[in-house]
Amino acid sequence: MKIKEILDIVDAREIYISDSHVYDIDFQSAFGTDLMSDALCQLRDADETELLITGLANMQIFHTANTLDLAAILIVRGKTVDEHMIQGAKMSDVSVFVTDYTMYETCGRLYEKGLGK
Amino acid sequence: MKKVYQIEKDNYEDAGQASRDIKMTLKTLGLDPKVLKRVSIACYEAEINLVIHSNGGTITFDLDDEGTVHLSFDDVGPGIPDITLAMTPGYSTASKKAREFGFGAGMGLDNMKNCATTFTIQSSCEGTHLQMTFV
Repeated sequence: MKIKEILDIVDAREIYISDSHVYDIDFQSAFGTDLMSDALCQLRDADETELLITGLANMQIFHTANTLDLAAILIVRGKTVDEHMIQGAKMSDVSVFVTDYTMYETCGRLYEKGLGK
Repeated sequence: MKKVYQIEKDNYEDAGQASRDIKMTLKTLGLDPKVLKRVSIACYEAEINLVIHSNGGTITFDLDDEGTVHLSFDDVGPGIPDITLAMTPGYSTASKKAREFGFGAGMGLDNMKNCATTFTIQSSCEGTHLQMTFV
């Protein structure tokens, strides 16, 4: 599933695009968590086709995504991403998107449309 | 090649920067991507542990002539009272602040051990010393 379709499904907006390549990635699955510890354990074999969905909005989400070679983060619950965080995303080569939906509804909508099925 | 990084207690803002630098260095040097991923995860987990649990310390990174990656994490206390318990998946003594930053699931040490080729840890009240190698 391409990022444009993902954004449409959850009415998400682009906050920062690290590389236009993110539009070409065919996302195969997603992992939703507010615990970066869980992401680091569960996504050891992940690659750029894994979308990280989180309600956290701090620098550690970018370090986690960079560590796991992820290309994109979808932040739920309409969290604010300030300029300082955008610099963090830039340093970590991660694109950032925000939706106002909750984690539950975001994951449900994407799964229903086939992401990760 | 050898590098040493100073890590401050409770500095959540900068936590992860040393690991990112080590990853970038190894990527530039052409390390196998699968090994690089394991190094990257274990290094980040250990760096976060230094920030969360220690009174501060250092990360020492070395790449030897055979291509083996060596990582050492040395802090100045307060030490881990029961390493066996600390290695138990799910056991955590992380603070509320650490959890707010997304850590403290109690999986860190176990995850590091699973990522590393060799893993040794010693601890006393004077400090914890963790060594990992990756091939």
